[in-house]
Amino acid sequence: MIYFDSAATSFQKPKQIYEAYLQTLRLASSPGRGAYSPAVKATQAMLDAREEACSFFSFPDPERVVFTMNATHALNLAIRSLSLPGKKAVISGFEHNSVLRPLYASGMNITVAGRRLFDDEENLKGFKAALEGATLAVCTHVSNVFGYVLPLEEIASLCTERGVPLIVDASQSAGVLDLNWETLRCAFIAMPGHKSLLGVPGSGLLLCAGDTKPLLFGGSGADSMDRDMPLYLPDRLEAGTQNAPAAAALAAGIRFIRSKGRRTIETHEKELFRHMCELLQKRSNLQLFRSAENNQTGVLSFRCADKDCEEIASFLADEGICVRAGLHCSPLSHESALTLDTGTVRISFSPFNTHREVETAAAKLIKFI
Amino acid sequence: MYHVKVYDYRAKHGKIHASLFFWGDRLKHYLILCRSATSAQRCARVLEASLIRASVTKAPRGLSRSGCAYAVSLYNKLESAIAVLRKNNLNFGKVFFAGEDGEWREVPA
Repeated sequence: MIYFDSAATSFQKPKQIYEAYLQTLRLASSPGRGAYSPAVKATQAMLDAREEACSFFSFPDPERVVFTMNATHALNLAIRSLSLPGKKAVISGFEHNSVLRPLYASGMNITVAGRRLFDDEENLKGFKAALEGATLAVCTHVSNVFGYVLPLEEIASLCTERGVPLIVDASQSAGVLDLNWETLRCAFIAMPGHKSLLGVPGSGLLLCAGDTKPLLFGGSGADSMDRDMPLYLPDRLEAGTQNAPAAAALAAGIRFIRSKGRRTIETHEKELFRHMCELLQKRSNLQLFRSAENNQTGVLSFRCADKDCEEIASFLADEGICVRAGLHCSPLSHESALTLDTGTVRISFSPFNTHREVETAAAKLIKFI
Repeated sequence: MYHVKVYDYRAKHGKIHASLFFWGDRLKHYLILCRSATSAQRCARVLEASLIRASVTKAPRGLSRSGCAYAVSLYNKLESAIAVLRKNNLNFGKVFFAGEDGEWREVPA
């Protein structure tokens, strides 16, 4: 089997992830629910992961690193914390439904800025104009469909200049691109634990620099007499029993990336991407969505003039090659790239994919189309 | 000094923390209240890294007015511990000292 759907979730994981998960599952109970050994071990596992995240993303306070179920949960928390019904929110043209849907639900007026695929200059102009009168901006770091790396630092600077709080969706960048809170100084960064950070499904993180509002209400293990959620983090946003084994796995994932070298992983995925492009580009019936600039990660979307995307993905699945076809939960990105009517087939790489796998998949694909 | 009758340790456990001795001197047992388990864990970790023995414990019922609370437990070395926590910008709450009578007394930090 060849797994090329790492933009959805990491499937191949280093053994350290399993070990950390199982060890915590065996030895730890519920974090923040007692001072006996298994409860303390659980709290320690969570704190380890918070500290790893702080160090990896240059974030100053481990107590403001909140565990979530996934990036969607983290984005919902961030949007709930900053949304003002009836006010203007600016988003990029490459947002996932995990941004779009909670924003619609919040009752904010949404302005889409920057809809040109791979065109940083145009998209920055769009943001500059749209931020006027806005009370919130949300921007993905990398498009989950096209791997387009948006000019996030510049967008963050524009937001800071205009006093507009920014929420960053780092779903496709955390663990593979340089993501540094000290540089961005944004209100929130949301990310999954299970994608490029190599943790397990059901884990995510929210780095909270801004004021927060809870989404879930319930036990936090402390201040039990209060009817409201505590005012302090992380307890304010972590109602109910937390997933300590997942936190331990996430911490192990960050340590693995550190040991391997984040830049090495980024380079490896880009090389696989280039290799795949070289093998597929000669086919005149294929349209590859590839940037001429250095603003794309190891995510390749394509479509075929004669074949439906789902048909291609289905054929590849039968051949043991896992790719994702359709709209990738991001109709806005497809609207921006004018691919809404067809969708695309998406190939996304991981640190564990090889050039041989690229060649095998490309050969099968070429034969089919 | 603020006295709080919180828990009758002697009745419950006999001689415990307040009666620990080291080379003939009674060890002074302190609790530093923290706002959360995470915060207490962070404080304990920083203290341990500074070679001050510390552990996370649930605070006795009467020490917190809002229900369950966490604390860092340590023996002696209170001044050094407070200095380390302040140096690392770590938040903490009231500090209590275990008297020989088993009562916790607030001490200024």
